[in-house]
Amino acid sequence: MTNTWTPPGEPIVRRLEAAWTAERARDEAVRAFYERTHADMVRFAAFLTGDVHAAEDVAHEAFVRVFDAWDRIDDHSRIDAYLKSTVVNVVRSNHRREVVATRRGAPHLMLVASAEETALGHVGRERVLAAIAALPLRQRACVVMRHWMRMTESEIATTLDLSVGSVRTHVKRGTEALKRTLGDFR
Amino acid sequence: MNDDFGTTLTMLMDEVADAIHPRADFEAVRDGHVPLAPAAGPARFRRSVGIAAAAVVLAGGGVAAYRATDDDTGSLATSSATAVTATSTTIQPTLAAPPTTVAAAIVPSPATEATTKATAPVARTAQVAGVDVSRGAPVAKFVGTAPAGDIVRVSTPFGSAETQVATSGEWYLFVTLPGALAGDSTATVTFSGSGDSVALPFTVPAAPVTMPKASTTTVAPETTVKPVTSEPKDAPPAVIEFTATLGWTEGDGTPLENGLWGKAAPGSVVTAASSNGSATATVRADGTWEMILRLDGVAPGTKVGIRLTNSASVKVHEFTAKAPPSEVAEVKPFTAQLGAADLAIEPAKQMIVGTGAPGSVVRAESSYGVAEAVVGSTGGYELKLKLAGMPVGASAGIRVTSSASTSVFEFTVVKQAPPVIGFSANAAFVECDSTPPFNEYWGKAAVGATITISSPYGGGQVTAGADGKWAARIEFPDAPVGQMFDVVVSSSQGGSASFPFVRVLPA
Repeated sequence: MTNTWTPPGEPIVRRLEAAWTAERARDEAVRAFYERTHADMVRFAAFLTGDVHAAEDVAHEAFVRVFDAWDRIDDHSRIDAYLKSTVVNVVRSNHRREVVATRRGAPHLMLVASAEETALGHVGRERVLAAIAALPLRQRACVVMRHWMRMTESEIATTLDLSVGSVRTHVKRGTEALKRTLGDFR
Repeated sequence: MNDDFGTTLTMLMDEVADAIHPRADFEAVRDGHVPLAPAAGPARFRRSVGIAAAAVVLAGGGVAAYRATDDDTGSLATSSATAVTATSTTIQPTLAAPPTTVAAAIVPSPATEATTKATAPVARTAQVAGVDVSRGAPVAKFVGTAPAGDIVRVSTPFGSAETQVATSGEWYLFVTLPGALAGDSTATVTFSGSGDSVALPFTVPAAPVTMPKASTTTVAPETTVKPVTSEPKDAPPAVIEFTATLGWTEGDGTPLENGLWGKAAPGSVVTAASSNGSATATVRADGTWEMILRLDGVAPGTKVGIRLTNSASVKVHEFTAKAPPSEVAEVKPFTAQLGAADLAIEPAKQMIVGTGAPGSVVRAESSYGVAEAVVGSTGGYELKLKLAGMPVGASAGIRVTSSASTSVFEFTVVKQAPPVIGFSANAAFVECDSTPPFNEYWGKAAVGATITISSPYGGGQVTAGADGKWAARIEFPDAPVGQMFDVVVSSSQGGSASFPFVRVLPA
């Protein structure tokens, strides 16, 4: 039996180094994107789920999905919109899982104040979150994007792949519903 | 009606959002930990994003290689590991400089060299290319070669990673080492093809000292730079929310200039945009910013929307500023011209626009309708004339007069045939938690077409109006919770669509 001995050669390292340089730039872009958007995405998810604890998980999963698709995304100028729609999709998938769990007899995951929410100690905030969480998901997303993120109707339409008319309808109905629930708030 | 509440809602939501301070954990996301969907674990991301690293400080790069059998399947015959001391191999990279010093440390025996030339199969090799300590947890880089398809796994006391060797026969891995302190450690590299493993010593260098940014390129030789100690690793980063304040909401000067100020992430850029001008400002190191936005060409008394964005935040602030009314209202001559029209619907609509003396009344008359408008303070007017009962193809004369002028303008318009309206349908929701559950459907169809909405749990009919539009609210009182079913919408004039719907429990 003949043994071979091949130490790592310089050309290998050089080629790999070029690859690392490209991936370093990519990693820095990913990290910068995360640091820029993470806090607001958790808050966005909190409005959609009504639960801060769940919101962190939703945002986490959304970021993982976006980063997983990072190289497949052609237009990174629209990455913010892609992330927002991913957050909505994650919330939707989680809700579907809850529906299935309900059918199987598992306890339904109702809005439960997390430890962090309780620590806030602000009944009003929980009431606002609960009222928004009671809206249908698409209304929820449209209302939050319009009133909290200050996005225009056309921006929301592009992000959620809806028509501007649909967005207008969702925002109007959602706002009216919240007015009925929270109209006496202030 | 909702505008006032919309403002209140925005304030409420801002207050709720400001109370939420999420914990950022980029490393956890980068490593692909998915708490909610383990079945859909992003293995690719775990591999591809996890390998990236910043400027590498190659220090104490351990290097090792071992012999493999000539058929790549037999067991390991002999192995060798060589530790390279940190002092002789430290490179301050610039990644352009490959860690060749490390590779050069291996000195194969003459006998081995001869064997290498005689045989071609890819040997299983491994080496530590460096340890990056420039940010967060240290990241160790491992490179080597192995037969394509081999699974290479690198395990350290602080973390592990694995990869599949590419067809080129080369492999590399980045292993994050959370909790690793400066000092020597050992990694174990395992190859699935042979089942062999080799121990690689490596050194985690001390974390680099953060220098003041400006001093890195302009420090004079005699200048003493005091190193700034890095922030404690577990200290949360200071997050400055993007805020903005508008100087005035109703201007009183010429040219119109509005001051804007607020806070945002240091170094980020705040941009103010409006249809009458834009401005940018870079946020200072203390997180404050300010700018003066000049608004050119704003008509007296009109409002201007200002939209503020920040490169470090997704939040957008919108303001409205109103230009002052002109001192003396300009008297404009009476003019009239045809504007936008929709002459294919019933009733046909024709816009008429023009100028006139402020406060005067402009009247448009035709055989099929009359409309009036009062000229505004800016001297402009527009009125919408509805032409009811006009037959298709018929023409109608329109006469436009002003109470402040003897001029008369006359136009002729022709009623157009309604377009053929294709069937379309939309649904408001996919799910509903109301009792009874319901959904709203709307769309367009041929004028007078009967739209039938049917499902196993409810349905109804509606007729498309003169403009082809139809809408219906359908309740599904018997729909079971959690069971998705299809709602079919069809038109008597052809065309149908199907929408899924599910009843869910109230949140």
